[in-house]
Amino acid sequence: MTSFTSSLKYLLSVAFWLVLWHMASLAIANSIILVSPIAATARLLELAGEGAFWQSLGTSLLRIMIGFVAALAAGIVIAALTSRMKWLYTLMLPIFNVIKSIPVASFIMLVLMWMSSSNISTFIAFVTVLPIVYFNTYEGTKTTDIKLLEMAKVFNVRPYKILRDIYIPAVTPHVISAASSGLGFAFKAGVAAEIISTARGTIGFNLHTARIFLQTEDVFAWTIAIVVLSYAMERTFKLLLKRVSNDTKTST
Amino acid sequence: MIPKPALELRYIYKNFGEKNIFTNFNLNFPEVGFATIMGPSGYGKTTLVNLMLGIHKPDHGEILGFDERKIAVVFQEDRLLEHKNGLENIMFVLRNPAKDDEDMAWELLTRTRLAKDAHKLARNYSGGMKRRLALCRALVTDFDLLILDEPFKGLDVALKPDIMALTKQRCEGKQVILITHDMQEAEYFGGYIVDISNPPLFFDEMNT
Repeated sequence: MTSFTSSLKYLLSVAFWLVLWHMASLAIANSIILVSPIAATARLLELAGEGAFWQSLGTSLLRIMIGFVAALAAGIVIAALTSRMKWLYTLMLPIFNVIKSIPVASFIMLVLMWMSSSNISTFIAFVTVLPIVYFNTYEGTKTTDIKLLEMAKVFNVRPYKILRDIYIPAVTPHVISAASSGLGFAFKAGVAAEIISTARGTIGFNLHTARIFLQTEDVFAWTIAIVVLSYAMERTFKLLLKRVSNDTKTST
Repeated sequence: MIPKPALELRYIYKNFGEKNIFTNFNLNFPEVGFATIMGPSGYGKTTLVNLMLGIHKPDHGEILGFDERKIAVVFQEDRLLEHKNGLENIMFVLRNPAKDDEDMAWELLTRTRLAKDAHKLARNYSGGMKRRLALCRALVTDFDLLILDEPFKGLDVALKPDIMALTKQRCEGKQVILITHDMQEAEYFGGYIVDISNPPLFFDEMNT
């Protein structure tokens, strides 16, 4: 199947669900319960004309991305260390299993007691993404070709070359996969944290306000904005990571 | 120059699970030149290489002198960086590559008929090309000891004599341990030949 036909099929699927949504909104005929996709898009375009919309988008994006990038860096470094030190792996495993299992809402409630609401989305994005990146990267280190490592050891190859030419190429696909799924989780959890903590001037705060005032159009418009933003960031990040990994592969 | 300690395996015992590979195995090597180890499959030739390289540890016994030397190796498998090109694979093993090293890399690539494919990724090489590249990677280094585990296996018959001549030339005055099934190869390189299936194995007490 060509990429054109698969894209076409995907777009047709999207169109099918949009039509279904529209018909459901017509059937319910109550804009407080369900607005039509046309009304939601119109409201989104209206909001996009306001400076406050972009400011909220920018604030949320920045805070969530700081948490995400920090988790990515920490996850990779800890995975690299635990893959070399078995005792550290054993020590860290319960921590990561606990972080992975704690519901995001519980984390938010806990963190609300420790820090100001403006930092919560960063922290929540961090703790949500950290175990995803850690476990994926750790698995990646396990797939590193042991025979290549043995070869490098016999030839007494410099450690930075071993890292650059053996470890990084083995781990990169796992990091890309973790970053890709982690970014979606970061946005979901980060916005949830903003809603619960009512952090002012954020996407979450706008969603919270819209819900209180039963502005369903706004809830849908902001939700569409989150989906678009999350998708755009995921694509950008994937391209960026692929570029970095290609640069690593082609450098001597 | 201070002479390096002798290369020696003493009283080696090695099992993999239930399978016994070596029992009270002893082997020592000449100070210079080729020492060829022959023998049928299943007698532990590659395990021996792994013991000498420190990849495997013996259950009992001593392995002496190997960690005192700069070792280069052609493994039984090519062990190339498949995502790197031919030249990059060679340069990978050089600690401080200088212009001379790169010139040497190109000379080896030329003499093994790989120069025109030097910028192709190793994953696109044929089996024979990979074997030649693995040999170039070993020969480019300034080794004291070269370990060759069936290095000419799968080479084009027309190319093999030139590749063997190049190997012999680059190994002059060095210690070389060659593992092979091929008696013609062993005879070409001269030096000592032992059959691993017929211990005891003491190269320095044998005649060529």
